[in-house]
Amino acid sequence: MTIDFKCPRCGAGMEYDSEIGKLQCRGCGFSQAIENAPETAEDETVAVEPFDGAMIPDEVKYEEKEEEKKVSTYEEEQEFECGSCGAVLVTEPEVSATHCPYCGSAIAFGERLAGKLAPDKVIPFTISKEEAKSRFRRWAKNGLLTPKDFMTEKRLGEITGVYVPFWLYDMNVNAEADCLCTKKRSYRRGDYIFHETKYYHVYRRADLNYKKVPADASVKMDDTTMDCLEPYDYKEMKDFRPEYLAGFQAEKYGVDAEGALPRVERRVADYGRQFICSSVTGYSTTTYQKQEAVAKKKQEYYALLPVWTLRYEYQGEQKIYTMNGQTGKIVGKPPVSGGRVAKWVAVLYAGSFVIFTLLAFLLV
Amino acid sequence: MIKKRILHKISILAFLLLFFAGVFAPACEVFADEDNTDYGDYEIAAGILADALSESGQSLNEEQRLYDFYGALSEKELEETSTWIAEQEEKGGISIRVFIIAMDAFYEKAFLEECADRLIDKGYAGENLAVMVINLDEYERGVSIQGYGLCESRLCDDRIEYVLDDIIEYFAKGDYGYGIRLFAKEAAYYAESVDYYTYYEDNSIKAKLGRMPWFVILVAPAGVAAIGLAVMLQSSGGRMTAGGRTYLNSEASGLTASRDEYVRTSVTRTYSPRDNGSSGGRSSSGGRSSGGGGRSSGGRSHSGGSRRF
Repeated sequence: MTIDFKCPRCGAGMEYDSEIGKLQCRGCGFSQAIENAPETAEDETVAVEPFDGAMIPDEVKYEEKEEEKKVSTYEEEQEFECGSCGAVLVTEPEVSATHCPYCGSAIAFGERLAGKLAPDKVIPFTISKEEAKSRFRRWAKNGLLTPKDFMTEKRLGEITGVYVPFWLYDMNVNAEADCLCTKKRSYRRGDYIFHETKYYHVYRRADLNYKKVPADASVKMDDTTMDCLEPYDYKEMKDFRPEYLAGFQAEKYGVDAEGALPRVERRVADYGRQFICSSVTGYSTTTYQKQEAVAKKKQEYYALLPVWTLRYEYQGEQKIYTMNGQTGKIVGKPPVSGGRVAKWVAVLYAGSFVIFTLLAFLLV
Repeated sequence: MIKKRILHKISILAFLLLFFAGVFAPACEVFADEDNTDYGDYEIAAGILADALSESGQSLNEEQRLYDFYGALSEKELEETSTWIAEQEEKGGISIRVFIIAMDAFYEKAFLEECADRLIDKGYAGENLAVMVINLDEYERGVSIQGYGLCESRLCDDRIEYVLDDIIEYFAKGDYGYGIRLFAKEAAYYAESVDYYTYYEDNSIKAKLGRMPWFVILVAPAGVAAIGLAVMLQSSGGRMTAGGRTYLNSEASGLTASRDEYVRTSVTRTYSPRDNGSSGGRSSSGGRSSGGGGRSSGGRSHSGGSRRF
């Protein structure tokens, strides 16, 4: 079943506007808050109430249609019908929200957002598409080794906003360290230098709690790239509503909570060991005889986090660049221009040569 | 309020003045005229030389290399040593003069400067002169060496210390002849060797360019360029910036146990004798800026060093 986002005034498709933080109609411009009290429309007859999950007003025409046809199994591609134009859409199994390629309406797939697939939380996009393009453009321009023709307007047009599934874990870590530490000093008495070493047995134990440590749950997205997009500001996190997905693509998780957990356990265990090591201070040397950290999951959340992605082919090579849809941090290796490399090598060489020559001339 | 501001500014000004005075005073001392011999010392030194020459019936001349005012050497030893010195002079291309006298050690430096000026001014020795005085004063025996002209750099302060290291034991046991011959040999050796401080000799641009390490100058910038390029490549693309602190719930986290127990202490010692500057120690000047190098009353700069025995 598909979820369509239609304007209660004109019936056109609505999309989530990151700049105003509301749903906005593409046709008449009418905007509607998602979790707060609705906007007072010019037409007083339109009474819109807050979109509380328990109460969906009659005026809001969110149509949920029974799926017309289910061709394949749940894990394979499925066919859905667009609620706006009636076109039949075929999607990959992990897609939970997209656009109709025929009429451009925003669609969410209800059964991929329900039950155990229902996200708990979402961080809405803060950076709009235009701002994302501007940031990508600036990032490409500032690249010291990036070719000039790297980030063209045509390529920037292919930018896509995607809600990537993440597991957020509240973790508890018990860390322990046992070490032998020394304090050293030297002093002179007459013709002798004395070296004094004091030995200490140091023990530390810590109980640490980490909140919402993220782990990418998408099979398509590279884990390292998603890690580099962190951190997200969790103050902006909201309870999930499908309305936030309007106008963007979204994926459901391909890696379940248990599958993503080991990576997070290793990560927070490292944090625990670092915490313990940082608490042993004031010694000349530290030799660890025992150092362990055990991580346990306390709670998990399934959240959708915003990512702008840009995929394209440059000189025969597939490249993907991602931007944190909330903070604007960009991750991705830009191509390297041979000409610019040669230019920088020449500049650095010439500059160093001049400095070394001057120094040698003065000191010789 | 205004008074407070004025006082505040005055105190800052005073602090700055004291600070820079404290910084610049030693700096000025470093760059001060290296001639730290009092003019009166030259007169006394000149008097000592005149008395020594008249009492021994000698006079400064071109042929004599060794002036024994004390009578420390026998006739035979005097002759053999003088011949040896002449041979070393030829090898090194320098002039070497030695004085044996008993005098107040305080005037050794001025005495040598006076001797050098007279010898060079009157043409009894060349501009490139290595001169030594052996002071057999009963209370403070010692030896001082100075180098003029080419010898100022070839026989620099550091090398004079090496020479003193070698000869002092012979003087200490009374074998003055051998000590003098060893001094002459080493002075000639250093005179022939590569400059220790070549900039004393030739600071022309051409000479400097010739001494520059061109291989290093050509290769090192390549290393700098490679490192710069690696940094640029590394920094592009983004990196992980979230760490433990990002997700730590500090209100619910912390150390639950912390123990630092003293176990034991171990002490080792190494023998490292102090440099006390007494018999067998290094030059009592303690460094170049005092008692070592300097400038004679005739305006000639020189290297130098001395030691007691």
